Amino acid sequence: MRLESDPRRSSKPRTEKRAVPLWEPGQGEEQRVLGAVIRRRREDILDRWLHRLQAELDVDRADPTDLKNALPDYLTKLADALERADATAGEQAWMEVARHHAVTRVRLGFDIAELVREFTLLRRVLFEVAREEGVMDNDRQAERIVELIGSATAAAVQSYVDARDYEARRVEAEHVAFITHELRNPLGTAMLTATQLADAPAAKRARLWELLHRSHRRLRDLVDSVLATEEVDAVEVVPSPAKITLEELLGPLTIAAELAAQAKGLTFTATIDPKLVVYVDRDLAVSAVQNVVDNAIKYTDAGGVVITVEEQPTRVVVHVYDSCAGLSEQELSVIFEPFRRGRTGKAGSGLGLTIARRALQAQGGAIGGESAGEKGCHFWLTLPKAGQ
Amino acid sequence: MGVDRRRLFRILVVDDEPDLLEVCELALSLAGHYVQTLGGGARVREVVERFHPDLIVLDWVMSDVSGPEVLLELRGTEHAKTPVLMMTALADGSERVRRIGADGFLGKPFGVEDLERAVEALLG
Repeated sequence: MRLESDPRRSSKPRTEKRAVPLWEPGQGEEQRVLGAVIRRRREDILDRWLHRLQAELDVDRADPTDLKNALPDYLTKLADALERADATAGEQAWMEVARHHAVTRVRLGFDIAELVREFTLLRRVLFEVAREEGVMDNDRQAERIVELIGSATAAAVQSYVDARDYEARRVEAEHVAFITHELRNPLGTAMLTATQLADAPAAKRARLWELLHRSHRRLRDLVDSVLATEEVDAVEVVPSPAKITLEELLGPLTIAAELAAQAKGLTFTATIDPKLVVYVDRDLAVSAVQNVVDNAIKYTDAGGVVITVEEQPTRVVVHVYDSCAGLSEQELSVIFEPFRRGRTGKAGSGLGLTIARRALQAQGGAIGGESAGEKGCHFWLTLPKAGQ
Repeated sequence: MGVDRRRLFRILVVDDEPDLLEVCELALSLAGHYVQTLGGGARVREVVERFHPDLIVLDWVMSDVSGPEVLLELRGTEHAKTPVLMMTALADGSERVRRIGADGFLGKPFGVEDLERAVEALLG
């Protein structure tokens, strides 16, 4: 397992520096005017900021509510701080909001550069609005905004680093616990079987050997899956894309899936335009689709699995529908993370969807999922289309 | 087998790992016990009322109803005194099992001798 956090940076007690007053006596009125503008134009500031942020970030990554996160509260606290005579007390409050904002950014997968960029964009919007309102009439006010945003950025970055290290350690510990638990189950069967073999009656031995082999195979599969994820983690995947028809890509896979579905008494239909051409790394793409289809069959106990293909201008979307018991929002939010299984009832490494996502991302594709409650789940994979 | 062969017991084994369930059943049957198996926690109470086990061997992590939940449910019934041997693959299993008041603990993986010793400790 790779641990991203640096233990040397771990939670050493940090000495809190005493907050420096943000402005000198006598400048209170200027600050109050600025504060009032921020309060009055808060929604406009947020909209402008969000618009710019979305233009710079991958828009699929988070919805506007997540992106805004603590920013509305932050602006209110900032206005409070400016309007109050007691600047230091106000500063504490909005710095705290900035720290909280940074912690949630770790969970949304922002990197430090993106976090800093957010504050830079906010500073620009504040400048714009202040100018429009005619309250940026001297350098002191401009300096004040730079100072306020600068100190919030520093606090946010520090908070981000602490939270990221903590998160890395927590995820790491969860992974180790998961793998250990999953290894112990087949190992338990193997050990109990092996210790019985010598004394078991001849009639029972064949079955014991079979169980022993099976548990060993499960152990091997689990180790393979863990290693596969670690390899994708450790090595940059360089896809070798080529033009390939959907028939070549999905043909063998769907035949195997149909057999697996039949063996479970499930229906299976695949409606695919065999002549559509995509531009993908064959092995990576097959691995991704395979993982999603395998999951659909594994988690469906009644009903069936349906595969359809949708052609879009620049890509082909493979839809996989199943009639499983459904996934909660919480399960959907973690299902692409390594070692997380949505439903704990089925054996598996908890790595299938992680491998699928990484395989697709490496070649410009994407993967997503949604659940229609107890009607089942819908997963989709996008594959870049070959140039015309 | 260390357990007194003249005194055989009724043992209910509950685990959602079918292979482990099968090997446990075989091991305890070969030792002469009368064994009933169950692939999940949901129907334990119903089976206990019909089977009247002397001992319940119960897995901790199960997909439907977990071992601790089963234990809690049983504690409120007339079978509250039936000893429960809790199996678990969890890292800190021994401490957890002690905390929830199960009668015995068996950490996965275990061999046939470990199973025998644990059963003997509760029934011997």
